[in-house]
Amino acid sequence: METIKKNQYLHRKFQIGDYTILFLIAGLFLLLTLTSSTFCTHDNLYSLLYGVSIQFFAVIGFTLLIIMGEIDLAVGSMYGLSGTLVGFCMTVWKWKLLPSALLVLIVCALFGYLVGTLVTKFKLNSMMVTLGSLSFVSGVNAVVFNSFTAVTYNAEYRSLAKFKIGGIHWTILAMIAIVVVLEFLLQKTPLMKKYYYIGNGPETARLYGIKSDRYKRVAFMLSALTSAIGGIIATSRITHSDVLTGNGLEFTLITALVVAGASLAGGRGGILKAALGMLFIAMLANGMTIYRIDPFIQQVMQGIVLIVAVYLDVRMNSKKA
Amino acid sequence: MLKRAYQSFRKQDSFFGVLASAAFFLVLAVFSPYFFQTNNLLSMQALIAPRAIMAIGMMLVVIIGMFDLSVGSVMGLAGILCGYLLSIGVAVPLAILLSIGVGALIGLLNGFLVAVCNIIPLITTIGTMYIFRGFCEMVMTSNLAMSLTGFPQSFLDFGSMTFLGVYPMLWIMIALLVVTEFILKRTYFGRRLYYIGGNPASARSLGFNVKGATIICFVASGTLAALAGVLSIARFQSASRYLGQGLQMDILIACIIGGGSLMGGKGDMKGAFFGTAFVALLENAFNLFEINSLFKSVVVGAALILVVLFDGYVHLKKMRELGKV
Repeated sequence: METIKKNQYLHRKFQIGDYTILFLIAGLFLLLTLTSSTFCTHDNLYSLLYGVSIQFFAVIGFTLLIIMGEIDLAVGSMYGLSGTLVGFCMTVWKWKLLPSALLVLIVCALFGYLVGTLVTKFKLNSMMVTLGSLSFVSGVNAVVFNSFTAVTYNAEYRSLAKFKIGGIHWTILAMIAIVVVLEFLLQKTPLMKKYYYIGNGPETARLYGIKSDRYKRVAFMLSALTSAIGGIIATSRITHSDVLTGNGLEFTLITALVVAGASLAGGRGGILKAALGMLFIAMLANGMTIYRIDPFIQQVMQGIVLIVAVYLDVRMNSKKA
Repeated sequence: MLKRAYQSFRKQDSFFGVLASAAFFLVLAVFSPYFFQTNNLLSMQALIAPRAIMAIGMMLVVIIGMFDLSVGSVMGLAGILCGYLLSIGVAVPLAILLSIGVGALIGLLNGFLVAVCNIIPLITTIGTMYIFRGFCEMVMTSNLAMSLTGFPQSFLDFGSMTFLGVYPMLWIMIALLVVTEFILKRTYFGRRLYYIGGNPASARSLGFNVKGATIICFVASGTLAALAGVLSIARFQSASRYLGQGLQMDILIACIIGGGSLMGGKGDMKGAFFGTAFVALLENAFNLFEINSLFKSVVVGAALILVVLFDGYVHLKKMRELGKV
């Protein structure tokens, strides 16, 4: 009964109620524009969008996992590790940017695939496994980081994030393209719709012959891969790597997704909503910085937003059922 | 006789943890000449006691099939708050009580969010972990110092005196271990926790107060983490900004190595102690063999993955035998 209801949810046409996040963004935008003179300027909005477009890479694979009801807590540490590893290849082994980035992406993707295999083969709780891989990956990051002298990386690496197409940073254009393509695939093609079927009812999906384990392994691989891409670009932007890059990113991503209407139980959410959620969180942080709110209070605020968002999600779901 | 003793030992949840920490203990004792020196043994006590006290609370939460990732932040907040209160001249007992009370309140908040608001423990406790770590930083920035020092002499004496060669914190740990083990194995309340962890739905239909038990376990976890924070600042004579940071992973891993299962319904206090001992010995090994401490988080993460894998494999095998998969 419950599955049928949820599937009806899937086949509904676009409804404005699904996009509460739009109202939240509009409200916050109005509030900040009216109360602060520095918020609604071209420079501030552009740098906000630029920041979101880099972090957005990390959310791509993560969203697919959340749709299937799994989670990858290691995104943040993977985000940090990839930048450090590329820096290591380029400063210690004197490699070019392209081969080192490719090597790092392959290593990260393999690691993600391994985690996915562990989760699906042994039917483990992905939360616990990735909590372990979080610690593991951030430890490796610290070890690699301390094995070579921390310097500003060379111009080739630094230019990666600065590359512009038609006066706009390529990451922003890439974000828009990925949102359009992936959202279309997720909503309209049978291949990607299966992610929602798996999230809604794993057992039903299995009975209909969907190889959910294979989908999950691929999604875990994508999650590691996309967060590694994001990390490489982020490191290129800040010109050097830091042990703290990506620290707590998983937490930001969960908050963004849940605020934008994804459920940790799976079956809901989408890539457009994920991007909007990231934008909302970035605007919130930007607003708090404009008002000179202490970063530690910002941390507290983020925790509160996360808990309130999940609470509202639980409340609304229990009413529907 | 010996065989029967072995078999009853083998059946216990804590079998693996006891074995692993005993083996590790032997390795350290044989290969490191410094292991049995008084200084090392004393620092081992200060390493094990606060963690084991936190592991007791964590184990209670693990038995009902949940976990509490906020313990590190609670420990830090309680320690820093206690240090702050002492440094502005609040009486020692009052400062200790207030800090532990704050820990209990945070536990209550966690329990309320999990049991009443139905938010999964991961989100709740990650959220409170970040919130109260932010609170710690706020207390510290108002002092513009990396750590708080200058506590009253009576407080410092309490931390560093020894009774029969053992710090008071270790005696407190032993007392707590005995009491909680008794509650778990010999009282209705304790036995119920295993039923709740094993199968929450049927426990609820049997009329157990699942919500109440969940809240009590989270309150216990918060209170004990706060107690650990207070005890460790009494020993180290300073409250650092980083007190308890990332410790929740060590504690959770200790509980799982000690025989707790993330599926709930398993674990006991022997396991909590020996699991903690294993993790503490690991940390001690890094110091004794002068291995770069950066590798610690790699080893801890790998250990967690292995333990979760082992736990899941055993569970899967059992389920296959029952024909449920």
